[in-house]
Parts: sequence; structure tokens; C-alpha cells
Amino acid sequence: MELIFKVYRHDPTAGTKPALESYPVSLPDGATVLDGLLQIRDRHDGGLAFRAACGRGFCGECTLRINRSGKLACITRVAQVAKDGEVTVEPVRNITVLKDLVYDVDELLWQKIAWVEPWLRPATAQPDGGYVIPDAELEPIRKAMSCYYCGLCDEGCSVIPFDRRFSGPAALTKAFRVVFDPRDGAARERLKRLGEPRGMWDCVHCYEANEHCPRGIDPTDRIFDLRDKAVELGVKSGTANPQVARHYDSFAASVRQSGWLDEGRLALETWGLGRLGELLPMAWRALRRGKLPVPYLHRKRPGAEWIRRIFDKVEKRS
Amino acid sequence: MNHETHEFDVIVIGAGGAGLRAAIEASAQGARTALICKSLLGKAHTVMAEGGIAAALGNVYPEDNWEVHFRDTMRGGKMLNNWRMAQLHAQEAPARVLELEAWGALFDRTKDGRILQRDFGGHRYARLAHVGDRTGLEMIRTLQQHAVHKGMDVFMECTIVRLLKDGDRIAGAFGYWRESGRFVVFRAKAVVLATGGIGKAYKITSNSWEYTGDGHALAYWAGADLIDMEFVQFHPTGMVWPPSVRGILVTEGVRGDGGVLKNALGERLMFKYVLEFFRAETAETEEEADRWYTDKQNARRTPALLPRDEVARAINAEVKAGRGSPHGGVFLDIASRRDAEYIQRRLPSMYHQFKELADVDITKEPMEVGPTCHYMMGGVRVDADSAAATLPGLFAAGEVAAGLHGANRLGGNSLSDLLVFGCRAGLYAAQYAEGLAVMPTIDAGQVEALARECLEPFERAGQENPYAVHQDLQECMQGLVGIIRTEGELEKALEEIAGLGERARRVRVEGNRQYNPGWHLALDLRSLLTVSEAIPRAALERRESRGAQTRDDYPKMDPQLGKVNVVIREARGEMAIAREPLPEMPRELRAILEGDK
Ligand code: SF4
Repeated sequence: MELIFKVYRHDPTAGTKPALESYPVSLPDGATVLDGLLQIRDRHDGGLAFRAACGRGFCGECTLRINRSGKLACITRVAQVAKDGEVTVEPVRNITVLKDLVYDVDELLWQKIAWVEPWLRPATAQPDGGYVIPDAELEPIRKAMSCYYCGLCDEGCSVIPFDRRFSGPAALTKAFRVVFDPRDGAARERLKRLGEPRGMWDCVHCYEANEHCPRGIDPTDRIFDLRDKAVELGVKSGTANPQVARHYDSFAASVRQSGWLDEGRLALETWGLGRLGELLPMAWRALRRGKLPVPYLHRKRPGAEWIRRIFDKVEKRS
Repeated sequence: MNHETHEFDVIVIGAGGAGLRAAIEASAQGARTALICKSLLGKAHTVMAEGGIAAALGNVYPEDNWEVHFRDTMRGGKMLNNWRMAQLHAQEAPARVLELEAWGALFDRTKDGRILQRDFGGHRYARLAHVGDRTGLEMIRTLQQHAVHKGMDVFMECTIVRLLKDGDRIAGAFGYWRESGRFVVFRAKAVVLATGGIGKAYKITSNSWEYTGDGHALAYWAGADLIDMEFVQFHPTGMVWPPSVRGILVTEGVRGDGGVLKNALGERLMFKYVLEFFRAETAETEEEADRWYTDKQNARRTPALLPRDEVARAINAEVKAGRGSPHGGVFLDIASRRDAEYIQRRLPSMYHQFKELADVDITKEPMEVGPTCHYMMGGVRVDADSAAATLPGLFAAGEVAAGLHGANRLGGNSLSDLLVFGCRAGLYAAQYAEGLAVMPTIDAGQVEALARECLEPFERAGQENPYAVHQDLQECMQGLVGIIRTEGELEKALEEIAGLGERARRVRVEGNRQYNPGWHLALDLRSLLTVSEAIPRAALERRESRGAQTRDDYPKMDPQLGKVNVVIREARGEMAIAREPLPEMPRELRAILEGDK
């Protein structure tokens, strides 16, 4: 296969601007994007910086954006991603780049993972001879145990671009792992912390994390599991974050009134007039992709009356 | 030259299983401890460990105990093991495994909810605690989180290039930050080496990029002894196709869970390769071998699970005889022997690995496999109890240390090694540090000289490319110092390595010090070349075939050589070789080995 790799190059210490450089690569069938990067390093520029440890999908270190989508370079085959003979390789978004494809993982992942305190706080001490735990109790967390901190779910996350400090699906998946560990005895305290701003209630359920996770952990669903657990245990959450609370209220009010979601109103009521400006970049992107109708008008949906009745009924019951 | 300086009681170099366990222990003892690693935390080679941790918990077979584990380990190592290490390892492994669960790990369970154990090569009973085929991930994640929880100082992406001494004792280490290229000095009373292995000296290897023999070389340069450097383990089952994945490991768990090796004629090939040494305990018919998986009392173990050196040699011989698979390996078949659901549950990583990298569905078709450089039995000579090297203040644990595995390591004994001796190294390093009243001093002149030396590749007039030198070294080691060795080829390898050393001194790198992988490799080449020289030198000295060392020109075991280690140490700038007797085994342990021959 003869291809062109377009690779993000930037050395912040050299005072130059970031740029996509093109390199010709020649690879055997079945080659991975990592093979391509290694070849560039061998043949064109020995200084090309990227991280890759195991080379076989075991360690989750080579997380990159490949043709504009988060992937692990070592298990992404060139033939499957190349478009018109080209492969673009960039660092993940919303992160400080140290050089080329190497970025600050601490900021992306680890401070957040430490925040959820993903270590066991056992309810009872380990008995002599070890814990006895039926296999069935392990089943719910088995998948989450295979997380290797690749950060792809955070890369795909819809919230992090707006709020880099959102704990994110990777850390919340770690939290899930301990909250649902049959031996753990600190669920309430953990959920209380997770209910703080930038915790589990900030997720907007876009399901991107599920799409991105190479281990099939479905992080979005794990965040729901955490919320359900908080509700089940009656751990007060969400109030710490007025924005989220407002988001929920506005969402419901809009649907109740017009039968469907008024996104303009949602933005206004969630963020308030003062911070609406922060949404302008997103509005601009939406406009360019034809997702924002101009002029913006929100009309009642046919059948809105029925929806209002559903609301009334449900609210009366609770 | 500018550099930052840090001061600790104990520094641990390497953050795989052994390094993390050592750091946890040293810090629990109250020592000010730093953990220094070349990669990001959690990405060390341990994360790639698949099959499990060998520990005689006796959960599946109550008749298992430390004595049986000890015996299996010694026999697997062809009796060249340090008996005391093998004893401590077998005795302490169960406690170390349980401790991991107390810290948050969760292994697969038996029906009654205890830790499940799986069959592996050379172990008489199902003995490996495991999490599917991702045991290393669970282990490193648990240790790492425990270390973070306890609040350790971690220096990530920091490479150590030299140990520093104050007279005859350790005084610290000198290194650089990969990110900025800036130099850093660690003043320390004790250093624990936990740097892993040397696989990147070979072309076909299962090892990660970090495995450039750093710890082996650091110890040697500092004047410590290395032993058993001739014993490089080739794992029998690495992927062979497509070319870009050649060498990637296929866990022994495939055979532990029922897979068999077949040649191009469809024959189960291992029955032809059972040595006298193992005949009494190995099944003779396919029927008996298959029955053994469920009936260990009345059937003998399948030859597919002989120790790794035996299986690797067998595959090598089949391919040489023209009975190999299309891409130069043999077939590993579990598809025809176990159902798809079982395979996916027991071997999820293997399933994905073959699917994603080779377009092979292992629940439907056989895999193609062949030997791949996997593990270094040789390394730093240590005191069995304290993991202390021959240099005061230096300790070593895990793959970089030698002795436990003798001439060949059993699968599953590596992860337990990391835990048992990582813990011991941390404990004794902390004790040593506490016993040392004053912090050793560092020679500023030496630091200055080291910094200048490290920067040479930027300033040279030479035109050698570090990547090219590395590739040529890998070709040389693969071709001349591989599974089957002869005197002529080993001599030739030494000549070539000397030439490569010359070239390495002319390596030039472009760019600046900011995250410059070419420069990093130029510095790694020095340790790669040092260990690459040690291997053929030791292999020449051992004129016999034993364990992982197969000499075509000396095909038999020599009982005299079975009583000695080959020792390597620096003497007047040269690599000196000596034979020194193994420690004498006490009578009661010898009885365990002889009792049930
Ligand atoms: S949850 Fe999945 S995508 Fe997220 S860090 Fe873990 S393995 Fe990666």
C-alpha cells in the first residue's frame, strides 16, 4: 500500500506554529497506523514524537485522532481508515500538546481518575483465605475491569470541549468499578462526591463514549448506573450544580409546553444570558453544518396537548 | 550544566509489578520513596501479562502446596535455580495474591466463590490466579491505584542513564525527563532496580518498547555482578502473520484451556518431543492428554504444556523439517476443541487480537504461531532473602534480577516473582536506608561529565542513524544468538556487536531535546549493546544445552555445568566471565525434589 500520512507536527518550545506535514509511506497489507508512524520515524524524521508501548491493544497508550476520530494507533488498520490514500494523524483534542502527537495525560485523565478515588474501601476486612464472592456478583463489573485508561471515551465526550474540568467518562467508569464492587462499603460517600459539580450529573448522554470505547464498556451506561444507584440510595445529588438542575428543569418545561425541545430556550435557561456568549462557537459550528435554522423559531408540535397530559399524569402520581 | 536534584531514602527504577510493589513496601516502612519510570504509569510491560499469577492457593486442587510449586519451578529451571529464591517464592506467593485482592483486585472465581486457578505449562496442578487473559492489567491497575492512594512521589517518563556511587556504595541515579530533555539527579541511600527485560535486542519479540536492558546495564556499569545471561526465553507461541505483528504473544492459557499444537499434516506434534526428564509425568496418548484436563488423578499432563523451552524447540524442529504452517510457524488449535462461548470468555484478548490484527476468528480457525523472544532469566545477582545486589545499596527485583527461574522460567512464575521479590526488595532497601546514618554524596564532576556525554549525539559529525543501528543489532541477535546456538555463530555475533558499538558511537540525532525519540534511542542503544554482548559471552562459556540454552555443538546437559552460574562483571573496562558454584541446597529441600521422581 502506498499512502500519504498527514501528521500533526508542533514543538511548542521552538516557537513554531502547528502544521500537518505530509509523508509518503509504503506499508504491507494488514499494517496498522502505528506501523506507518514508525516508518516515518525510521525514514523521514527520527524526531517525530508519539507514544506507544505495547503495540497490540493491551495498554491503551497510543490514543490519537485518526482521520478525525479517536482511535488506538496500534489496532487501527490503515486499510480500514484511509480515505483517498490518505491518513491524518493528530493528538486528541482539548489538551495541552507537549510535542507532535504527545500530550499531557495528567491533565486529560489522571487528575480526574484520582478525584474519584478508585481504590477499594472494603466494608469488611478480608477474611483468612480470601474473599468469597459468587461469580454472579462479579458479572456487572467484569467489563469495566478491562478498562486500560486509553481515554478514548473522554476524547469523544461532548461535554469536555465546553468544560475541560468535567470528570469525564473514563474517570466515572473507574468510579463505577468501585461503587459496584461487591466488597466496597463506601458507596454513599463516593456518590456524594460524584454528585458534585463536574461529576456524574454533568454528562449529557450523547452516547459518544459508548461509540468510542474499544473495550465495549459502554461508559455512558455506566454513568447512568451510578446515577440510578444515587437515586436508589437516596443520595442527594445534582443540587450542587445549578446549571445541571436548570438544564433538567428547562428541558422538561420546554417539552411540556410545546411537545418538543426548544434548544434555544434550553441554552438560555441553562446558561443564563451572561454566559450565553460561551456557546457562540458551538452555535457557529451548528450554523455552518446547517443544524441551526435561521431565523430561529420554535413552534408547538402537533399533539403537544397529549404530551402535556402525560406530564400532568406522571407529576400527579409522584 | 543545569539540572534539578531530588533527595529520597529509596528510589525505585521501573513501575511494572515489581517496581510498584517495591515502592509500596518501602514507603509503608516509612522510607521516603520515589518511583521513576520510563513510560506513563500503568503502561509498563506487566500490563501485557496474560495468563496469571502462579501461587499454590490450593483452591482448585487442595493437594497443591508450596512444596509442589517449589519442585515444579526447580524442574522447569533444570535445577539451575537459586533454591532459596524458589523456596521463598513458592511459600510467599499465595499471601501476595490475597493481598492484591485486599487492595482491590478481583480474580476469576471458582464455583464456590474463591479465586479460580488455571493450568499452565510445567505446573503440576491448576495454579494460576487470573482475570481472563488480562491478569497483568488487573495487577498493575491495583498496585498503581494503591500506590497513588498511599501518596507516592512518581516521576513519569523519566529515564535513568547511570547509577551514581559514593565510593563503593550507591549514592543515587542520573537521568533525564523524556518530555523536556532536561537532566535530573536523584540522591538516594538505596536504589531498587525493577526495569524488566531485554527483548528489544531481538527482532521477533513479545516485549514492549521499554525492554532495552536498562537495569541490567546500569547494574553492570556500576560494578554489580550479572548471572545466567545465556538464558533468554523464547516463548513458543507468538503470532507469525501478518508481518507487522510477528512476535506478539499468544498466551499459554490457550493450551492451558485446551488448545493443542498441530503441524501441517494435522498431527499433534508435542507427543514426539518428550524428553526422558519429563516422560514419567507426561501423557503418552491423545486420549490420556485430553482426559488430564478434567482428571488430574488418573491421567498425566498433556505434552502441549511442557515447559516453554521444550515446546519452543519442538516447534522450531517441525518447521525445519518442512512440516510448518504457510507462514513459517505451526498451528495452535482451540477452535475444534472448545466452544465459542468458552473461548471468548476465557481468552477475550486473544479473540480480539487475532480478529483485529490478523482477520482470524480463533473460535472458528486455528492460529499460526512460532517462537518469540519473551523473557530474560539472567540478570542482576541478588541475595535470595533481601534482593540485595553485590553492590551495597543496590537491590533488584523482577525480570532484571536473576536466580529464581534458573535455566527456564515457568509461565505464571513471573507475576508471582514480581510480587514476592518486589515486596522483599522494597522492605530490605528501606531497612538498608534506615541503617545508613548519612546521605551518600554525589560527585558533581561526574554528573557534569554524564550530562555532556548524553548530549554528544547532537554534536557529532557522524551520520549514523540510531534506528538503523538498532535494527541491525536486532537482526544480529535474532540470527546468531537465537534459540539454537553454535560457537561459530556466537563468535560472529560478538564481532558484529563490537562493530555496532563503533557505529553507535557515531550516531547523530537531529532536532532539540524536547521529546526527541531519536535521541532517547541513541541513549538506549548503550544498554542494548551491553546486554547484547553479555548474552553470547555467557552462552559461549556454557558448553552444554540446558533449559533455554540449546547449543547445537553441545547437545547434552553437562552435570558439572549444572552446578555453576556463569557470572559476568566488569573488570578494567572489559566484560569478565567466571563460573561460580550454585549455593548448596539443604537436605530437606533436596528430599522434596527426589521424593517423587
Ligand atoms: S472506558 Fe473504554 S474508552 Fe474509556 S478509558 Fe476505559 S477503555 Fe478507554
